[in-house]
Amino acid sequence: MSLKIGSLKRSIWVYHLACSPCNNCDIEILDVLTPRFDVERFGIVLVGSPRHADALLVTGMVNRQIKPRLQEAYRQTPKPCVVFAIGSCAVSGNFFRRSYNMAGPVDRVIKEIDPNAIVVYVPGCPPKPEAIISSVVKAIKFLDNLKKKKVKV
Amino acid sequence: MPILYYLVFPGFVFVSVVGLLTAWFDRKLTARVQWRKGPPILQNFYDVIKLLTKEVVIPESANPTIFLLAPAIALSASVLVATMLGIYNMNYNASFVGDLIVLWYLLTIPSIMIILGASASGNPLASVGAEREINQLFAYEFPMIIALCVVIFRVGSISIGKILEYQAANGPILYSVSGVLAFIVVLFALQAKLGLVPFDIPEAETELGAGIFMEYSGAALGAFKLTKAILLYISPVFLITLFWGGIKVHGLGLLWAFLKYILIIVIMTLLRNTNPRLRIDQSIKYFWGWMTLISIIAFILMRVGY
Amino acid sequence: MPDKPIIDVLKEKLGDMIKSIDQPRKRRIYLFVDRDDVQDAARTIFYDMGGRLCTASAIDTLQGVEIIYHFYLDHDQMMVNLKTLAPRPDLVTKSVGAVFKAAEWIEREIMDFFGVKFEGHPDPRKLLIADDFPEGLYPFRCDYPQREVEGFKPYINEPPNPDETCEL
Repeated sequence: MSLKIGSLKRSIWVYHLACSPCNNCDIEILDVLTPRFDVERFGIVLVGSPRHADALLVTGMVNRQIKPRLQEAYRQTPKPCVVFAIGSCAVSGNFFRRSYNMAGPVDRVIKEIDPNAIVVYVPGCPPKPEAIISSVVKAIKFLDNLKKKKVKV
Repeated sequence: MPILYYLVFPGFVFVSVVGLLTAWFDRKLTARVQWRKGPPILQNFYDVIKLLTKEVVIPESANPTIFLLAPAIALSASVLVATMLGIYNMNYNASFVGDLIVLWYLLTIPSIMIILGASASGNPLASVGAEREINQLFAYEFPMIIALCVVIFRVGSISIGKILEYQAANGPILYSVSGVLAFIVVLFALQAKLGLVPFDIPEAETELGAGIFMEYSGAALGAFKLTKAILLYISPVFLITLFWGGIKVHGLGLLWAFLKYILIIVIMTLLRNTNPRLRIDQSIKYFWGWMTLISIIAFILMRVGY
Repeated sequence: MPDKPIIDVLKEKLGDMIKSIDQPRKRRIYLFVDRDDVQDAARTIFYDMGGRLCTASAIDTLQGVEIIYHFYLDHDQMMVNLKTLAPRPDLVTKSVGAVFKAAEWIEREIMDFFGVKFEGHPDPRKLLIADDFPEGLYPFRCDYPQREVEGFKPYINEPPNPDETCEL
């Protein structure tokens, strides 16, 4: 178990999954991956397929059309994986929360198919790149505590 | 024991470690060119270990046998090539007539296994990538063989041991006009074999998702990444063996070999960072047009005596 | 080069189809036609006067659903807005998408969200709304129940469950 978590937290491959966002959060994710913040030092690399990914960056509001597709993409990602809900539309719905097309925030949609999923919330509209990086650090600390059995999931 | 040569030195363990360190060097140099720090030195090892601990997801519409056999065969073929090159550089008498052809045949096996694995994935994007890989395979093999003929005809025999002896007696083949031209052609062909920009058309990242490797995950993907790293080790060693006098293991020879190796890797990385990706028809025109012309000129110059 | 003001050209070509016409600003003309004449009026503006359909908009009023087709005359720099009304009990009107293709998709969107029936529309399928959205519910109408939709509970702000989260 410790080889698994120890190597997972040093090389996180990221897949960007946009479920109808307004694209500000996507621009902030692209900012994080530019040479200014240089997240390749931590081993974070953008990949092109959910089968290669360890972390799913979900942005935007989950609506009725995309809900089965988001669940299918989560099922295709090899476990262990972490879901990052980036932006307040993904965390709670922001001001779309009573809209006619809203199918639940990201954590409710993912926990329908996998109650043990690890979901990291990054609020902000849009969150700063520093906030996204600090959320990755907190996710790594959580995985460490998981390894030491301090926290149950 | 011969099996220890294949498994430990200069076989699987040695070549994996050196190949992954070479891939790290490539990433670090890319980072420096882009004005940032790069990953730490053990980053590629963490990547491969992490891939080994993830689950392997096999899609329903895939053919499981070929899907899982393809990376294994590709890995074993590339390790065999590295072992052969290592042994021949240490012992000139171990080579036999025609082993250059065997080596070249074994080097095409990873490309063919990638094509088979991508076609067995059952994904339309992967099959587009496989079609592009087939086209590219036809493209770069042709001028490459003519450039290899430059070396063979000059030495007079198709055996790596005899090529190394000829270079020990008469100076490296690179120190002549035809040698330089043939060296350039083989360098570009190896860049296309490795799938580095400007020829990374099969795994076009922003066009095709992940292209040929779309459905691979876990240990199968780890095997393919390791194969790419081992091919990255084989390319400079192949070039040095054929054109630059081989790797001499006595005295100062190791230092010279190390510097030549680093120089070729630096050239490949800088080519990778300063060029955009070509289209598949541009790549075929490039290889069957300019590169074939240069290799034919090299052949003619070699016959004349330059 | 305009030889006559556009408002006079419109009055001449459309004749007694126009129920009311108005030019409140220099580049805006609003004209109201009945729902049976809207196809002929649109045909005149599109083919004879060279107008380009920009979009169509709809709003729910007490009398029915009022639909405006926005045309722009490029050479004369004049925006011609063609209003029509689909009256309240049955919400039916004639379709401009049968006259030219540019209005097809925007009328499908109005059908999705308001429930207006366009007679003569060549392709009346759903465009933007989800395939499993319940029938008979139209979100942009004024009497849409914002909170309770059958089979679909909207998200209410609940405090997080302390057993499922952790302090770091």
